[in-house]
Amino acid sequence: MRVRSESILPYGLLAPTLIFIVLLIVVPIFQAFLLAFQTAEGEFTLIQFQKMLADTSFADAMKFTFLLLMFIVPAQVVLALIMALLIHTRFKGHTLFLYIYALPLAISDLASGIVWLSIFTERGFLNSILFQLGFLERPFLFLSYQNLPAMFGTIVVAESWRATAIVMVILLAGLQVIPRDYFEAADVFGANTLKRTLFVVLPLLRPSLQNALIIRTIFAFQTFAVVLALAGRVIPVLAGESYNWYALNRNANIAAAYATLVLIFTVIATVIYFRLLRTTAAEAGFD
Amino acid sequence: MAGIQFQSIRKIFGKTIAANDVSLEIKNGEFMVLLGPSGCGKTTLLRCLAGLERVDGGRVFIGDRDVTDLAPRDRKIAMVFQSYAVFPHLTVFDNIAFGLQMQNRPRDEIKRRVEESARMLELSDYLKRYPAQLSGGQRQRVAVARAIVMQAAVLLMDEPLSNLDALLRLQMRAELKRLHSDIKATTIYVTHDQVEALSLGDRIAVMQNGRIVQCDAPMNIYDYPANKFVGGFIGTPPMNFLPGVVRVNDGKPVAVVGESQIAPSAALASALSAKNGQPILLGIRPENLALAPSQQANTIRARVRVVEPLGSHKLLTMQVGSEISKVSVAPDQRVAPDEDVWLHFDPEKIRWMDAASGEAISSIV
Amino acid sequence: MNKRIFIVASLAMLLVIIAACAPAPTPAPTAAPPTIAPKVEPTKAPVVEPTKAPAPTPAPTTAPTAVPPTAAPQALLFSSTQFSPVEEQEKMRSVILKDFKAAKVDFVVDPSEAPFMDRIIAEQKTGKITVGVIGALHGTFPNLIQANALEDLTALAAKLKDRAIVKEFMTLGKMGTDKQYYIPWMQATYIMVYNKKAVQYLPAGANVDALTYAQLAEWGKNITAATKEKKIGMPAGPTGLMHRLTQGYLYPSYTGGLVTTYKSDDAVKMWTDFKAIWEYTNPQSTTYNSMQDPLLSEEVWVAIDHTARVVNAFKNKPNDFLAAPAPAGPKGRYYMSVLAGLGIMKGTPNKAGAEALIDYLTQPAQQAATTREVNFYPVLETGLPTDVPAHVKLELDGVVKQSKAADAKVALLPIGLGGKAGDFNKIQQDTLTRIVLKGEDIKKVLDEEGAKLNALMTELKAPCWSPDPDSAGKPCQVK
Repeated sequence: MRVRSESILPYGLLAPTLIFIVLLIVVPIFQAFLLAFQTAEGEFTLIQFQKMLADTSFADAMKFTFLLLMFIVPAQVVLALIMALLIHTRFKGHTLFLYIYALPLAISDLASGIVWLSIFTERGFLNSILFQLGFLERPFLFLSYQNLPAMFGTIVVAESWRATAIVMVILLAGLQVIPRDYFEAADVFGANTLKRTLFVVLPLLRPSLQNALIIRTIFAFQTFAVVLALAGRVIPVLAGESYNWYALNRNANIAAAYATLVLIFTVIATVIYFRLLRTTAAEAGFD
Repeated sequence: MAGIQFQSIRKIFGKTIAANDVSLEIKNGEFMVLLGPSGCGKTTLLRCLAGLERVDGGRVFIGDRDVTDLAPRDRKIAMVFQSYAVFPHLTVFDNIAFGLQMQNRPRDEIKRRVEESARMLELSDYLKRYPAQLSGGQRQRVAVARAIVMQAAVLLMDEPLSNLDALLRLQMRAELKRLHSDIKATTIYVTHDQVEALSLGDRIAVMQNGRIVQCDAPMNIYDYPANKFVGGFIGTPPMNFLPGVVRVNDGKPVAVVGESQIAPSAALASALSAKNGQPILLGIRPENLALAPSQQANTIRARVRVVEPLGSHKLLTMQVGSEISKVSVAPDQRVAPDEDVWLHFDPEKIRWMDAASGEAISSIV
Repeated sequence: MNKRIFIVASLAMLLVIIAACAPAPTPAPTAAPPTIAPKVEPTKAPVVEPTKAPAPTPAPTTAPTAVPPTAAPQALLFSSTQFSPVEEQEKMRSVILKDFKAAKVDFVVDPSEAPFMDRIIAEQKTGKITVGVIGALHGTFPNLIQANALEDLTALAAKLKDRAIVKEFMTLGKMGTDKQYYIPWMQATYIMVYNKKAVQYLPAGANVDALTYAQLAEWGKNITAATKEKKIGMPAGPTGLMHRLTQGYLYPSYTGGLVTTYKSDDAVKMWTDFKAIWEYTNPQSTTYNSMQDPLLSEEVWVAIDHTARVVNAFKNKPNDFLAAPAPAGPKGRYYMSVLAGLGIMKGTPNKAGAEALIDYLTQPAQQAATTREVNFYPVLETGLPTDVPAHVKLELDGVVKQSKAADAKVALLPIGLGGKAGDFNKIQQDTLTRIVLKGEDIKKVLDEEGAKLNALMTELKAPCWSPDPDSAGKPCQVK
């Protein structure tokens, strides 16, 4: 009896989470799947995917989604790592920096898109400052469709600002879990900051790095509000197309097809990360 | 090889003074044990030496180098951590080799020295394993091997045995002693275990509340504790302290304990004469009390409460007046609980202490 | 044991990860929607709508306040996609709805269509109806019909016969069927707004109130030559209404049609001319959703947009801006009238109150108040009010000039597209993106997008609407 109740307990504790996940996440995902494979009349079809593939924006959306991924994810992980390591040194006033770094977490992505739009637009803050300082004779058009690299650059900057914080928080949490003794041992045995970071911190941080990469990549696949605000239809992304089809074109089926595609890519990316950053049982864990 | 000098080291954490103007000199090749209860500042002092804490005052010297402002890596030290801090992502070989690799030593030298250290600590068969595949004792050996492979002038050990079970601890204690006699590095060893301190140290520095209260060879500390704290902290069971009052009869001082009188050794007589009428503590170790068949000089009436046969000796818990005293007697001594006996004090072995301050009264006033 | 917990926990983690990548919540599939194609079923008389007005309903001529005064006013939820600015919502509540006593109106605004529709769909699905009156643009009603969320207002329309609501608008409210789905509420249009600084660069002989698209291009060229900046602006941002300009302004003005002439030679000429205008159009236009902000920041000097999306320019800097009719093309000065309508939620708990509110809002006094307070224009034949604030007056000048222009012609919003209005709009958006932004071959793009348009119209069986010639009930096709 006693054994039984003990074996039920963990499931009981997990139950609320599981019910929450099933009701609010698994069921909608399933419904989205259904939508993607249905006609408006509810019959099974692949027409939604055909329509998606034939969509004018599809190829561009694929291209830009992956380009964005390639720029944003490494940039953010490196930035976040530097920020987390800095905070972890617990220099004077590090909590203030932590708050400043974490601030974008509290801002919705659409709001941050609008903020960055007001920075990068022709008469925006950036141009005004550069103009006042005499660097520019006339405003520079960051957001011109004729200057895609600049436009793309603004997205990378805005997205990095918005979502680096979450990566930083994950890495900082990971750093704080590592017993300080390891860092001290590295110090005592002659490692300088760089060597300590490379040979001790990063290997020990690998589980957190894995999580950060997965979450960040998922976020990158989901990115669209900032892109929409800064680049409109010029730089389409997969998640943005899903939103457009649902919210603007009111076609939930094609939106679901896009969403399904994003889901597939996300799962693939997650599997790849798990494979690449796998820690063997022997290496895993501290004492 | 190098000696170590702490000069007025001060370290403050918030409101706690972890090291209160501590000065200590350690000779080249000496095995110095820092002993004290938790929170006494012994680990802080060690970390100040390692460079893991910055001092708030004072200087630290290794040899004749002032290392106070140097980073840990520049202090030419090696250290064994309490948690071992053996890197989980590196094999035993790479763990031991870590420090040498940081110094960019040639590969064949690293290999030779790692293997040598591994042999000394009987780790040769485990070089390719990861720490998670080792037992606690083996991981501890890796931590030691990683430190001695550096051949550093100064070897620091922060409670290295505290995470081992009793048997392993006994075994490793002897090994550490042998290792030290082989490598002869100046060693600072932090522990709260007085048995380890007595067995390993060339000298022991006993710390309390951020200060060193006594620093001496182990047997001197055992026999002549500087105060009540040291006497109580060292020895199992600790020293007994019986309260009494000094009375000078015809110029000869005695301690009046209950209805009995205990006379001091001749050397102390003059120092005690000055304390006529003052309360006093008689510190005496359990093995220096003996059962006497009848009342004689320096005996006190006591009642046996508990008898514990411990193999090598019998430990008696006695009631002396309102005080409890521990007495160690030979295993064949016939004694039963609730028996009233006479306790004999060996005057030469009594440590007389001022009842108010707890400080030992020395023969030199 | 631990292993099992670990497995369950990892599964939960994995689910969270997967869940995290599901984008915007997608609603469950809509059940087979009712066909909204104009299926005329004359034999079947509407059951719920007796030809005679039910006894308790007041006579149509009576003011809605004539509902028995002793009855405590019932609650009525008025859900609108219009009036996203908070000040406008306040005007609506405190001025326009102030005198309505037949029900206690709760006016809520959901400016983006997705949540607005989601609420209505959800209420219809669960059967827990709280919404009473729905106020939305003509373009939103197909989705409402698809969601089967609208009452038939044919009887109400009959009651309001003497209101003198513009006939064409009433017809639009039928959505191509024989039922009245909405009662016209208010209208708006797209006009040109220019900064007075730009006037000096007008091409020689050009009248700003009677501009052609060719002259607009030249104007832009002159401005760029003088300022080194491209100062024409188009609302081509993600939620901008550029596609309406294509549908109701450019295409009709150049080709006299939209669908039938989609890939005609006139259309090629139109796109060629528009590319010329685009040469001098601020390339940030692809981020502009409403033109008032770039006008106010002077990123652009000349813009065409919806009246509601430029009115702040007049409000904030009344001395800087003027309104003018949209330019004309070879086939005339076509402009589009944007219509907002009032529908009644199917199954609403307070249908009488809802009907009374629609009656109230279409009265001349409220129609005039709507122009005065929130800058939309009446749908009554009686015309535009005169006692309006200065900034409304400035804008109104342009609206009046546009409708009174000698070559003015009205293009209608697309009709009969049902839930596929979005697909229709996307074809125009994609055409513009490919021709203008990506510089693809005009003919090729028009052929390809025209084919998509044909497929869509065939699927919808939607007949042509003005200005395309009547297709006699057959699906409108690209020629």
